[in-house]
Amino acid sequence: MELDFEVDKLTNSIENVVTGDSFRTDVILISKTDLKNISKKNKWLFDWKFEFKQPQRDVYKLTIVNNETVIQGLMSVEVKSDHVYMHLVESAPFNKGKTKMYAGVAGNLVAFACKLAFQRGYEGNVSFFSKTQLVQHYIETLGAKHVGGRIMIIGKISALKLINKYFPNEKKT
Amino acid sequence: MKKKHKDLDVDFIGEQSAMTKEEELAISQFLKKEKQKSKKQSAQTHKRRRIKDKQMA
Repeated sequence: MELDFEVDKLTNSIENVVTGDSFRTDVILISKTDLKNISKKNKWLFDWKFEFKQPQRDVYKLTIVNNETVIQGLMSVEVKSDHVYMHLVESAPFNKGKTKMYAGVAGNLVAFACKLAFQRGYEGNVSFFSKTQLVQHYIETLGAKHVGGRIMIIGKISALKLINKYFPNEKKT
Repeated sequence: MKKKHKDLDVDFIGEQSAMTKEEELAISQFLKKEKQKSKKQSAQTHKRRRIKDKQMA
């Protein structure tokens, strides 16, 4: 995994890794029609149909502006009593690994979860689960705190930093 | 000079297994503690500012 590289991607956009071109993005709720091609057969890792069926969870898709049919990544979140819990984030199969087409998909979606947490009055607090080997990576890249076990939390200050990085033109509520 | 910075570089986050009650409780307790800490820090800053203002007057 490549961790050290120069970053100038400071907008709510994703970057074509070959050309370096940036494309502005939208994050919107997924529909049943979107789910048709999202399956393990099409190289998605998680069962997104299951996520969609859970009444307490909201599944969002990240798309390029004016190209809503091509899903760049998905996120499943649940609004808890004191924070937003990020169940899952997954980049589209063509945005995974060394041959990915666009960079910045996961970061955009995490920043969106932080924005939701501010909108819900939870001071940007977002929790998620991490594998042991990725704890340090999340601490360094997201400013997340390791609470114990598999629990990670993005607090107010880190959430603000992420929102400023990925959504620099939007005001916090 | 360009800044070297680490950016999030993962293809997925999370697990499909559910959060346990213990985990939910741990998160709530952590958030409560963080809130208390931040309140305390904010009160201390106000106190320091009041003392400074008094000294300036």
